Amino acid sequence: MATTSLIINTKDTADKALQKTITNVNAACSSGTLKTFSQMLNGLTSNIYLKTDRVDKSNVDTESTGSTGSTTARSIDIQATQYVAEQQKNTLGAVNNDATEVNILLPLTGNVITFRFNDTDVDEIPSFSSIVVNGDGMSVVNKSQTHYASTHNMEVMRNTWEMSLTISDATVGSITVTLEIPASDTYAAYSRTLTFNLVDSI
Amino acid sequence: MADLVKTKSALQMVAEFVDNDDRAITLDNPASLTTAQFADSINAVGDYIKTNNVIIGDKEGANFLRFKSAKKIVTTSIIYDLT
Repeated sequence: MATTSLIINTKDTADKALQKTITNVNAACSSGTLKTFSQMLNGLTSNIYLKTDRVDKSNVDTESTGSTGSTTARSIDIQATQYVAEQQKNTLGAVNNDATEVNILLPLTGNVITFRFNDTDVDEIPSFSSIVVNGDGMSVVNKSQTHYASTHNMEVMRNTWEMSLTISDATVGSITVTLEIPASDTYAAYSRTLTFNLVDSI
Repeated sequence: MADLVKTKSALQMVAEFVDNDDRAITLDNPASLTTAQFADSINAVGDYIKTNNVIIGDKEGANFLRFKSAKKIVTTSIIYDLT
């Protein structure tokens, strides 16, 4: 992460040079603002001389490794299936990648929703990913999630996130599920939220 | 040779950020001000930081909330005469 620091050089009344570094200065601040800020800090001291330098630092370990600096967007297919009492009730299907909402049929007793995020044709396993579930009016009594990577065609990597939710009885409500994958050298950050709505009929 | 006494003072202000993280800013050679004058000046700096969003939290980049405490630390060192 790029950081900005402010270095304040001062001299005390005995003409001894002092240096103070203020880290994590907002990079959007103007020079005038930083100057006034430095003067205010200096006003709290007996120092008589003031000079400031602004240092914008980049983390070269992570930011110089990519030769082009450009990243590719992940393309992730989503499949969701609704099960009632272990019988497949409704294939919610390969959810359109532009979809943000999926409808679930009542009743909910014994209702399990499984869904998969399939990330195909990639050559990288993300170092970190998370699936976050938030319920509104519905509560999740059981959930399990798995992430596995496999190869197909002997060479192409496939990442799959699979998640099952068991939902308590409810007559109304919705659940949002968010898959987050941070950016890597090759791929841009990915974030996708799907809302599952309870409905009487589809 | 007699003992050598040296004093050093610093002003330590603890900045609080909206993510509940704290960060201390320490200034050497604090001015000779009264408690009320320090309080006014430090609050003025805090207001300025808040208005202009000058410093941000080091973990989350969270906005500055306030200076929640400030103290003047006076360290006295005595170098003993061993002769």
